[in-house]
Amino acid sequence: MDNQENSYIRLSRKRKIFLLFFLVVLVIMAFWDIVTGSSALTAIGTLRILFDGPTGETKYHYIVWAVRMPMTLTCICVGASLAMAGEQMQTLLQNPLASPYTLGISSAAGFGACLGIITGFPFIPIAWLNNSVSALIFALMSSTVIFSVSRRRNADPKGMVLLGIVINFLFSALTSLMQYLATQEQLSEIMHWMFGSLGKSSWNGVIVCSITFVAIFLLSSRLSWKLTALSAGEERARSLGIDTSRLRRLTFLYSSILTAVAVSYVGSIGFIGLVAPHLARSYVGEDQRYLAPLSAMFGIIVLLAASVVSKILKPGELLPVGIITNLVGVSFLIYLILKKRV
Amino acid sequence: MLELKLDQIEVHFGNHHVLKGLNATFDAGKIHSVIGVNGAGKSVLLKTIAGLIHGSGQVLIRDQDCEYNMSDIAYVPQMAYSTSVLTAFEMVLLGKVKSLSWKVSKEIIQEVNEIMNTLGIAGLAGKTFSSLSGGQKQMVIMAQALISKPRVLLLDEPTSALDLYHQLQLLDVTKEYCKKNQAIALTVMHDLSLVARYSDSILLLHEGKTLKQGKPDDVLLPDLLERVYRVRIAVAKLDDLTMITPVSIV
Repeated sequence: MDNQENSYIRLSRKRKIFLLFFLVVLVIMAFWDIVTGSSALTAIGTLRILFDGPTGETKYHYIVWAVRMPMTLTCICVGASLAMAGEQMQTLLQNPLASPYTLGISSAAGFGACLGIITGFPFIPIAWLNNSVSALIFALMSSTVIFSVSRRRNADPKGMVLLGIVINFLFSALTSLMQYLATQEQLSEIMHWMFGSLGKSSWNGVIVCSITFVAIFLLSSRLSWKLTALSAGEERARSLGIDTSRLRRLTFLYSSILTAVAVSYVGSIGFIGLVAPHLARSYVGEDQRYLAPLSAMFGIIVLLAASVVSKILKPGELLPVGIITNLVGVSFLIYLILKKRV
Repeated sequence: MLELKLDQIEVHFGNHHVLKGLNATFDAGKIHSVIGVNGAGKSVLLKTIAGLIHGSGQVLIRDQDCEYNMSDIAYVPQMAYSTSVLTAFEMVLLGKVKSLSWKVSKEIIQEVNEIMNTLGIAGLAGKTFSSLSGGQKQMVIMAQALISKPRVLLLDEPTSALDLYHQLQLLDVTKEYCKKNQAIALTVMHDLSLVARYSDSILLLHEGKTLKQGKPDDVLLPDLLERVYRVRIAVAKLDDLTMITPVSIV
């Protein structure tokens, strides 16, 4: 009996150690991302500036606190949001290939941004905010449509995925139309948005995205055990007395909000929501108490790594980070297919 | 006294009526078996009681509507399909899903250990559920059901994937659980010798209706079984055991 008790307690302890280890990796990656850039800043110099606080007056203080910190923090809140949204989508749809893109929320946000760039919708006088708000409106609109239809169909996962595919096609077509109508200048802006770039990072964006993530994380943590039961299968969860339709709708709402806010902030950054949960699952299994935070951590680490690579590949220029994550994601997906994990 | 009462249960899938106004009562502390041919509606009946299929009529436990007492029912399916990477220990732990908090208490861990020991599956604790054999999965799901301390235990062909030893072990544990906790077990089984040995009462289901309900000796009659199963049946007594064997197709 002691052996069994120890095996579960040992497993829990091992999972906690993994969380702690990857937290350290995350901090190192975040620091590496801040240090990396075209200005000749050393690691020690950067550390000194960080300890000085944002009030320093040298140009390096400005570079670290006004340019690099928001970008690194954007990686943290966006990476965590997309990864957690992906992990929740995979659980609620019981589909290992689900991600924030599966249900078309990202395409809807993309169309919203294009509409904002071309027509100026929703006509907010603050330029940096306008396209993001337009993206957010359409992302939430598509989520509402899926949410309402899934309510009628008892949140049947197959129905939700099918509807997501329809929404994906619809907004992809509308986005193509927008691109066709756009001027050369607008087209360039649209392409930049579609790639997903950290160049749009700002303290305001970081604050909105972080608050959203923390709120949803706390709300989701109350559903941890129920989601763990759902991962064991629909019928099992229902026979344990769980209202799976309600659980699905609630989780879908949370992951939609996370996706909508993250995508409308930095644009379309693919594969984080697909790759991070798979990595996390291979370390801590399906127990949502560990899986959700570790997925978020892997989302951050992958995005920080992509950010560092995007700065190094072409010094002096910031490559759209979405290109890097897509390349990493495709490789990872091929690995999963070869390993017969999907 | 605890009682499970089915009142005019009707279930249909499109035009196909599976259960046609079924009435039955099951009392506490006993194992009740539902028997009948394939497609008679046995599994549908169990799923309806478990709330997994919605039909009309009423399922009453303790004179309260069943839909509001789902936590009093545990359902063990015919086959537990799952690709989950949860361990067997975690699967059993999920039986306590309603009372689990962020930190799993030592008492609950102890409880899981005890039930896994009782069912002889302690050695599977650290193994991934999806990697287990059909019989091992069935035992794990049984442990999950028992740990939730249900008042009504629904077992759909619980012995179908088990070897002889585990068949007897599972049914012995079920019998003891029902006696000790004054719970009701409702099982669907095809092995009529096991039905005769373990059941306190039998419900013979035919074409969605109750054909007969009563004690094993009153229901397991060769003529009646031959009519329902269209198979000639031999019934033999060996000490206290009733052996029921199909002889030939009629």
